[in-house]
Amino acid sequence: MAQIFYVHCPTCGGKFPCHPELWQVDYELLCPFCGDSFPQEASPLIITATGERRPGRDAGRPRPPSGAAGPARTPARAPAGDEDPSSSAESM
Amino acid sequence: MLDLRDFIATAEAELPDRVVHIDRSVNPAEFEVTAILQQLEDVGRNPMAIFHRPLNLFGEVSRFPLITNIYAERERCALALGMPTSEAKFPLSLEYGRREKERISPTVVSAAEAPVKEVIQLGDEADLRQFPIVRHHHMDPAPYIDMTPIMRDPDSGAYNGAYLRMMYKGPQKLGLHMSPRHNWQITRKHEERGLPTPVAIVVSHHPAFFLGTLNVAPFGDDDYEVIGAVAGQSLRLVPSETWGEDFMVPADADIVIEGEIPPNVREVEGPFGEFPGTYGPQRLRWVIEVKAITHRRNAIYQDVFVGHADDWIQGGLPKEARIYNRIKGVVPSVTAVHLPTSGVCRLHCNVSIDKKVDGESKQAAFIVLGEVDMIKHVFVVDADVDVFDDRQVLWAVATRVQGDQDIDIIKNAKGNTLDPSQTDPIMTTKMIIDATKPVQRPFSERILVPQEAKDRVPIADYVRPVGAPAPLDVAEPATASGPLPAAGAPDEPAQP
Repeated sequence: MAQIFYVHCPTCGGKFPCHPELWQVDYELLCPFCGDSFPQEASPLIITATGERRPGRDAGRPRPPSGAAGPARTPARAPAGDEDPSSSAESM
Repeated sequence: MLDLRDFIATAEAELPDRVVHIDRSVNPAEFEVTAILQQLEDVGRNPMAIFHRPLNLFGEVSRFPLITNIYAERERCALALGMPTSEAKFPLSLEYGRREKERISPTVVSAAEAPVKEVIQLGDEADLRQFPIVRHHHMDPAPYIDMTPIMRDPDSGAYNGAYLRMMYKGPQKLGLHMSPRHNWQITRKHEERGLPTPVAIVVSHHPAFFLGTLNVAPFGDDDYEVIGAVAGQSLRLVPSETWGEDFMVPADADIVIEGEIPPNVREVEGPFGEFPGTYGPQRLRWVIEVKAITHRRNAIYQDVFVGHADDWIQGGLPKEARIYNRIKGVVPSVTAVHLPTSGVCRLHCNVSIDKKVDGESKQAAFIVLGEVDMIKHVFVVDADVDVFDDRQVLWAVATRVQGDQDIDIIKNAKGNTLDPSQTDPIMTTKMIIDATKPVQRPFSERILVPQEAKDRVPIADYVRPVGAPAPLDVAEPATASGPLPAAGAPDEPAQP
């Protein structure tokens, strides 16, 4: 898990880990604490695997209404990253 | 015929103090099931837990009781496979390995003979909110079903089952996480053809079914045949509601959810409290669109307490015999193999050998590391150490290891991305700790209280039970070695 990064939720401030594939694609993140969906750029603070800390890329940008965010913007093709030998309960 | 209720009755009869019932209403989606389990674990208890009034996702008392923590003790795994609890340690591992090599063809039955068809829900009626789905850990974004989806290889027709995590996303929608293993391969084949992947989620069944899905048979072997072999009986199958005879489902399951994975669709899923006891990150994963739900009229909903003994023991048990048999071919003196819960039954492996030649321990360790990529640290001990007892293993490490001579580090080996200690997504560092005595030079013997002395003074006859009144007249018990020394008179003078 060397390359996970932590994202702070712009709504509740909760911090949660994301896989690097979410760094590269235009997807809305889901806060596990308050359930809000938001684009990565809206996060006030992102902590990368190397310990770098920086504000969201344009944290001041107006955000769409919460209900308009939707669950995700689905790409036509599956993004790279499926092949990562991650694990889960299947690692049993 | 496999029936979860038969297993519960057996567990209640054989291990009555290791089954708990929760009669008050709890909300699984608000961590109240895992809160009960965690409190029990905190005081050293891992009982099977039956919640009789869990809330469903509508916030009402669910028609389905909830059972969890079934696998948190090896004794219950032994009972599930029809073995006595006295054989729950390594004999259980060996028996699993023996059965796993066999195959028993499934038996097809009609819907009328299939308990799982007693209630059939199609379309909008197939609503996931009726279930008491569990949210396990504080950073899980939603309740998760964490039992076994079954998929079918479109080329060979073989079925494959695996524990996978499924995030509740809506009344008829789940997120699905997969590793690049068998079900992932099946889904990829469908996606390459632009087709949805049929999936039948077996949410609840007799535990022998779930233990059977943990087999390590090669891709292409039919899991329904292997599950039957592990369970010791032919698995009864019935046509699904969605695909008919093209996709068979277990007839004796308690609950089956049928659905499809649309091709090339991904949504955010996670984080999720995972097996190492840490969170796996949020990522893009597949979704399942629910098509039908079938269940027994008296169905019980089932869950695994992932990241705890309930999850760990299932993961380790099937690997132990496989590793042992591989070592046995090269190091015949191997006596036992165990993946302890202290190493989440994945990352640590204890091996005992009756060493005859120096070097055998390292040879055994290399086989372990080659056989299971998840294992990171191997502890090799002598046969006088019980590999199922961490205290004994650590005692051997404390007394038989010199760090500069007995520890080997292997860099740049394949690991597991969920191991939070890794500094690379895939590569890890392995460690072999040889805690065996050297053969070539004299070595201090382990202290020993003579067995014949223990047999002479069984504690049941000699130790006063807690709370029992002291006898007024203490009669000296006659022993074969004569009267006991007076109290306060040591055998040897005290050290100055």
